Amino acid sequence: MFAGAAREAVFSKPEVIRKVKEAFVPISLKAGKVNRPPDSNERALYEEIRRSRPLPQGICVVNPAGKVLEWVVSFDNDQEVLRFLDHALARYELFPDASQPVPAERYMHFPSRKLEDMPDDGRVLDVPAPHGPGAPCPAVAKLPVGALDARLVGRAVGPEGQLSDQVLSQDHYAEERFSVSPQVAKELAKRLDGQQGLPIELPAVLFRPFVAHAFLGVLDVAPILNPGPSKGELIRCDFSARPVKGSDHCWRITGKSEVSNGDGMSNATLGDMHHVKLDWEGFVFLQNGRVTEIVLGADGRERLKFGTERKLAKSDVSYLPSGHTIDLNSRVRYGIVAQANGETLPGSSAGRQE
Amino acid sequence: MPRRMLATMVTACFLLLSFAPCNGQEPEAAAKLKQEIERLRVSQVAWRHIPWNPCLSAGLHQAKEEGKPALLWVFIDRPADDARC
Repeated sequence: MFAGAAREAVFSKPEVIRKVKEAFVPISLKAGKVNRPPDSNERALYEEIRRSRPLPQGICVVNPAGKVLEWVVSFDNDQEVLRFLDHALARYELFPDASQPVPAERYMHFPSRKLEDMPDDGRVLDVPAPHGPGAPCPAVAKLPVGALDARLVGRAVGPEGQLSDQVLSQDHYAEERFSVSPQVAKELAKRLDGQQGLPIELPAVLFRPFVAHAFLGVLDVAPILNPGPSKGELIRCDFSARPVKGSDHCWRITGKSEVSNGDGMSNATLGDMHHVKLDWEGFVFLQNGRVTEIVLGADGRERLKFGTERKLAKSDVSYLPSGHTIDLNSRVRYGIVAQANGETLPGSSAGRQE
Repeated sequence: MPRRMLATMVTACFLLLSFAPCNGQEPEAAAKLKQEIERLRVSQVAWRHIPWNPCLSAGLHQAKEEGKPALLWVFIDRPADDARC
């Protein structure tokens, strides 16, 4: 939730983008790596960041020696985002390296809610040389051999069929990159390879990965991949395939799906819900008994209510950990292209595999 | 023809072209479907303008070379790529 809210409310503002690009080196870190530092030569750096963090997620400024200057979780209002960046730059002028102790300033809200500073523990950190070919970066995961690298895009569609132009908000425009496991790809190929003639029904498990990712909104509203207590319901996942006439490697796919979740979603409030009903069309391509590509389009309706009971804040930047409220009832379209190419997922973790 | 009706007809044609069966022209229809999927995508979305580096040590080396502090965005999951967050 924090990441989506920060991306939308902080890092999409032109003046913030300009300031970050001009005056800072932007680094994105997975909270999992900070909370459980990897067993690599970067461990001490991650430990230093973890030592002063006010929450598992946030925005942090460090000097090139890896010493934390500032932490912030939210801001009093939009103007304070730029003031925070200026404040961080002023502290960097005072503490550009580790030649003197660097106390870490920590804000739940900048500047009104400041926590106690975290004093420097005196450790001098070694910043290891950038990773070479033999020492992969712990922040970069490889796709397992045989997995499919899938890219999804989804848009809300207006009453007259026009695509929503609110592309900053994930409840109107969503992109996602995920992987489909080698087992699913292998089983799909096994079911299709050598099939002739009549359409065949395909088990739900083979298309569940695609259906599970086809939703608008942040990760916390995922209908059936939800990080919260409720894992949602896969109401329908009926897919069939028929071989394309004149082609020995292409199968036409049609399907219908329906997924749902309620106020057991992560960070949800009473009355929140998510329901997605889609009609699917697409193609699967095989080569030498393996899936090489899947292309899927889906069209349908989506109803999403999130944060219904939450009090409205003055500004989106003042409640980044919980994000903004959503009330969507819209026609939607999705497209997914999944390819077997074994590429690395930049800045990703293997934990999102379906 | 009223503007609203025209827009509806254009949309209907768009959807038919992208998702309807193509009677034996499937590979061509697959290419068309991929094009339609690409049209859903927005290339210049604002949050993609900041070049986030996912590697901590590489970022700190760059910070030292350029004489700048590093801004760390610590988040669950992976928005730095083109992913959901």
